[in-house]
Amino acid sequence: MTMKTLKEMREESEKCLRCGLCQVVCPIYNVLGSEPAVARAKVRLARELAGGNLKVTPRMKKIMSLCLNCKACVANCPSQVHTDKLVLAARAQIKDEDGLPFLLGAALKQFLPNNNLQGVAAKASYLYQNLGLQQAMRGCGLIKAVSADLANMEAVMPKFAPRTFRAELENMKLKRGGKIKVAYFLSCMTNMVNTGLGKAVVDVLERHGCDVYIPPEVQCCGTPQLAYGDVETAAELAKNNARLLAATGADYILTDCGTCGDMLRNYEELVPEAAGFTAKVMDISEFLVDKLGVKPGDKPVEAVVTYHDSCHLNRGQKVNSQPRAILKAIPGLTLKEMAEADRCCGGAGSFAMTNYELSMKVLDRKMNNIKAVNPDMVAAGCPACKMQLEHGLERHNMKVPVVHPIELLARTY
Amino acid sequence: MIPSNVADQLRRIAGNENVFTEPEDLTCYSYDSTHLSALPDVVVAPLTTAEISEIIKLANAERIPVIPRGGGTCLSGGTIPVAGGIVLAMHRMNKILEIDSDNLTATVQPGVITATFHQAVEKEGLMYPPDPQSMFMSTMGGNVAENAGGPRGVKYGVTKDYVLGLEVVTPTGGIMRVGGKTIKNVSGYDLMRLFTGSEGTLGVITEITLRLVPAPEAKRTLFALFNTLDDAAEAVSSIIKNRIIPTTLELMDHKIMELIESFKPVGFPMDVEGAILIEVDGSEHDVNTQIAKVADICTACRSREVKVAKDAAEAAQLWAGRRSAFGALCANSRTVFVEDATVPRSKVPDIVKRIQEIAKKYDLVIPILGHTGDGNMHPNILTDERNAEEMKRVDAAIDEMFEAALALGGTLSGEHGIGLIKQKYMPWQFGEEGLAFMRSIKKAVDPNNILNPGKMALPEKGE
Ligand SMILES: Cc1cc2nc3c(=O)[nH]c(=O)nc-3n(C[C@H](O)[C@H](O)[C@H](O)COP(=O)(O)OP(=O)(O)OC[C@H]3O[C@@H](n4cnc5c(N)ncnc54)[C@H](O)[C@@H]3O)c2cc1C
Ligand code: SF4
Ligand code: SF4
Repeated sequence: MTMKTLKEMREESEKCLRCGLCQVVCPIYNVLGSEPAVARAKVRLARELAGGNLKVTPRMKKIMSLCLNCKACVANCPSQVHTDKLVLAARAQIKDEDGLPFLLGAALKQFLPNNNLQGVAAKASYLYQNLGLQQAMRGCGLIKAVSADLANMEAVMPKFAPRTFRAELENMKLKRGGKIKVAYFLSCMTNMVNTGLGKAVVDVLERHGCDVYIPPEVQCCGTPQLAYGDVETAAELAKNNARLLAATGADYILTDCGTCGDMLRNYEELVPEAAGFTAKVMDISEFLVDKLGVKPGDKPVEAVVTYHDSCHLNRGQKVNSQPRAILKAIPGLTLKEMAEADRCCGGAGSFAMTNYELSMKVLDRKMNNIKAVNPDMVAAGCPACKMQLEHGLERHNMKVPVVHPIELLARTY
Repeated sequence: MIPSNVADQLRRIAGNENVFTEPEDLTCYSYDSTHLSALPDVVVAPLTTAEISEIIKLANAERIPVIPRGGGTCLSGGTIPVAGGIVLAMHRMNKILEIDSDNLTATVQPGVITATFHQAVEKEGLMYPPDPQSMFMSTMGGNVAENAGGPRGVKYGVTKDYVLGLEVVTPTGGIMRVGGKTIKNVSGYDLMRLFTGSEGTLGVITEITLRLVPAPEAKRTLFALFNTLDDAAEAVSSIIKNRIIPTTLELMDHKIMELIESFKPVGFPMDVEGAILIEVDGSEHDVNTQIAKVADICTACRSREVKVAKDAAEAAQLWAGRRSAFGALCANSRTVFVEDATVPRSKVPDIVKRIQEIAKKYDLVIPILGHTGDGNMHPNILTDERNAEEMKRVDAAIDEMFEAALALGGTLSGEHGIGLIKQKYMPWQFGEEGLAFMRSIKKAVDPNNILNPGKMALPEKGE
C-alpha cells in the first residue's frame, strides 16, 4: 500500500502556519463559525492524532467527518498544506482502530463494488420511487418517525433509472474503426442514475472519431471507500480497475464524473500497480477540448446556462476552462457565470445524507448564486454535484434542470 | 484544572451545545497564528452580553481565567490560554446590528468578520477604513482589542480612530457602555481608547459602534521602481514631507518581489532593489494632481521608472502581487516571523538600513515589506523553528530590531499588539513607571486577574 498513513503525514501537518487563511474559503467553517470546523483545526488534530497526543474518540470522528474534501483550503493555503489528504489519512486511522458501522461497511464493501448488486438495487429503488411507494412513505411521515437520518437520506436519494447503463450496454452496439482508442470509465452514478449521460458520452466520442471501450467488470472508483477510511477496499478496487482499463490498450482513459476522474488520477498513490496509468486519465471535456478540438453539431440549444465547478474536477483535476469551452461552442447557448462558481455545493458524496442540515446550508449559498443568474439550466461535470444541485433547486422551488456539458453537446447532433 | 462543576454551570448559562470540554475542542482553541499554544480547560460560545456577564461572575467566584477569542488570527499570542481557564469563543455574536447612513455610524457585535462588515458598509456607499490584511478572517472584536490597522492606515488611521462607542463586560462581570454615536464626546476619561488595544485584558467587548466615512469618488495606483532600497525608502519619507498623504504606501525590497514572482507572478521586475506601491483616493481632481506630484517626487528620488496604472484592472494586478506577499513568504519558508516595528515616517530610511545590517550581522534572510507610509515596517524573518541554532540568532536579531526602532523614536508594534510575544520589550518602551501605571489600572478593574492573564507584561497570578 502506498497511500501514506497519518503517521507518515505528520510532516505535512507541521507545515501549517496557523495563519487562518483557510477560514476564508472553508464552506463548513462558513456555516458553523467555530474553530473545530475549519481546516486549520483538522490539520492540528491530525497532527496530535499522528503524534499520539490525541486518540480516536467519537468527538475526533465527528470533527474529521466535518469535511467535504472540497480542497478549497488547499488551493488557498500559503504553505500548501494538504488538509484533504490529512483528513482522509485520519479517517483511515479512525477506521483501522474503530471499524465501520455495519450498514455502511456493507454498502462500501459489498454493494458499491458489485455491478450485479447495483443492477438489482437500482431496479428495486426505481420501483420504490415509481410505484407511488416513495410518495406514500414521504407523505405519511413513517420514515421520519423511524429515523430522521433515514428521512434525510431518503430525501437526497437520487432517482434511479429503470435499467442500469451496464444492462443497456449489452444491447448497444459500440461502433468500431475509430482513429483513437479510448476507454470510458463508467461511474456508479452514470450507471444507476444518469444512463442518458452514458449514452451521450458514447455518442459524442464516436462522433469525434473514437473507438470506445467499456470493460464490463470495472467497478466503483473507490472514492466512497476512501472517504470513509476504508483504504483496503479502495486499493483493491483501484488495482482491479487500473488493470482492466489498461488492458483495453486504450490511449486515453476517460471519465465523465469529476470525482471518479480525480480518484483515478490518484490511483498511483494508492497502488503501485497503477504506475503509468494515471497519465492516461482525462476528463472527457478536457480530452475533447485539449486533444481533439470540440466539434459540435448544428442543432442549437437555445438556453441560458450557468456552470457549476465541481471541486474534484476544478481543484482536483484542474479542469475548469474546458467544460466552459464546450458550452460556449454549442450553438444557441449562452453561458452566464454565477458568483462563486467554484464553491462547493455541499454534496460530497454521502455527506449530504450524514450531515443533512449542514449540507443544506452550504447548498443554500450555491442556490442563491444560481438564483441571481436565473438560468434555464445548470451545467455540472460531476453527477454527484448534479444530485445535490437538483435537490437544492427543488427545495428552492426552482424548475431548473441540471445537465452535464456533454449531454448538451450531444443535443446538437 | 478547574472545579468539575464549572462546566455544568457554564452549560446552564450558555446551553449544553455551546460548552466544550473534550480534548479535541480544547486543542482547537489552544493556538492562534503564532507558534505558541496552551490548552484551556473549557470553551464556551456565548450568544448574549448577559451570558458573558454571568460567565465572568462565575469565573470571579471560582478564580478562573477567561480569554476572549475572535478569529484567532492574533500574531502576538494574545488568545493563548497560558493559565488555562475558559476560552470565550465569540463567533455566535456575529450580527451587524445597524448601519446608520444618516449619522454615518454602524453598530456591530464583536464576532462579525471584518470583511463581511466592509461589504455591508460598501453596499451603502460608505467605507469603514481599517483594513488589516487578515480582514477576511479577523473579527471586529479582535480588531478593537488589538487596535488593528492596515495598509490604508497612512491616510485613515487605525481602529481606534473609528471606535465611537462600546458595550463592555467588565472583568468582574458588570455591563458598561462607553461613548455612543456622537462624533464629539469629551466627557470623562477616554475609556474607548483604553479598551481599544487592551487585548482582552480589561473587558470583553460585546458591542461596537463605529464611525464610517463616505466612500471616495476615485482611486489611482502608482508603482515606482528604484535601483537602491535606500532611494525607495527616501521617496517614502519625501512624499510625506511634501505633505501628500496617500491612502496606502507600501515599500517592497528586491527579495520580496522575487518571492512574489516565483509564487504568483504579476510582472514585478527582477532587476531593482526597491519599489513602492502607492494608492491615492479622493475626488477625481485631487487624485490626479496627487498622483502627478507623487510621480515627481519619486523621480526626484532617482526612481528608475514610474508607472501609473491606467485602469482598475492594472491597479488590481499590482495590488494582487502585494497581497500575495504573505503566501509567497510562507511558500518559501518553514517558519515566518512577521515583525511589526514602527518608526516615525521620516526615519524609514534609517530603519531600513538598520534592518539590512541586522540581517547581515546574524546571517538571516529578512525580506522587507512595510506599510511604510505610516512608518510600519514588516521585516519578515524566514527561518525554520526546528533549527535551534538559527532560532537563537533570530531572537537576537528581533531584540536588536526593536532596540533600533525604539532608538529612532518608534514603537514595538504598529498593529499586532504585545500579547505574549513582545512582553519582554514592554519595559524598554514604557519604563518601570509606565508599566506600573498600566498594572495599577489592571489591578483596579480586575482584582482577581481574571481577564486574559499573563499578557502584555501585566502581573501574573501570584506575582
Ligand atoms: C495573515 C495575517 C495578516 C495580518 N495582518 C494584519 C494587519 O494588516 N494589521 C493588523 O493590525 N493585524 C494583522 N494581523 C493580526 C490579526 O489579524 C489582528 O490582530 C486581528 O485584529 C485579530 O483579530 P481576531 O478576531 O483574529 O482576534 P483574536 O486573534 O481572536 O484575538 C486577538 C486579541 O483580542 C482579544 N479579543 C478578541 N475578541 C475580543 C472581544 N470581543 N473582547 C475583548 N477582547 C477580545 C483576544 O483576547 C486577544 O488578546 C494579521 C494576522 C494574520 C494571520
Ligand atoms: S491556510 Fe494553510 S497554513 Fe494557514 S492555517 Fe490554514 S492550513 Fe494552516
Ligand atoms: S476540504 Fe473543504 S470542507 Fe474540508 S477543510 Fe478544506 S475547505 Fe473545509
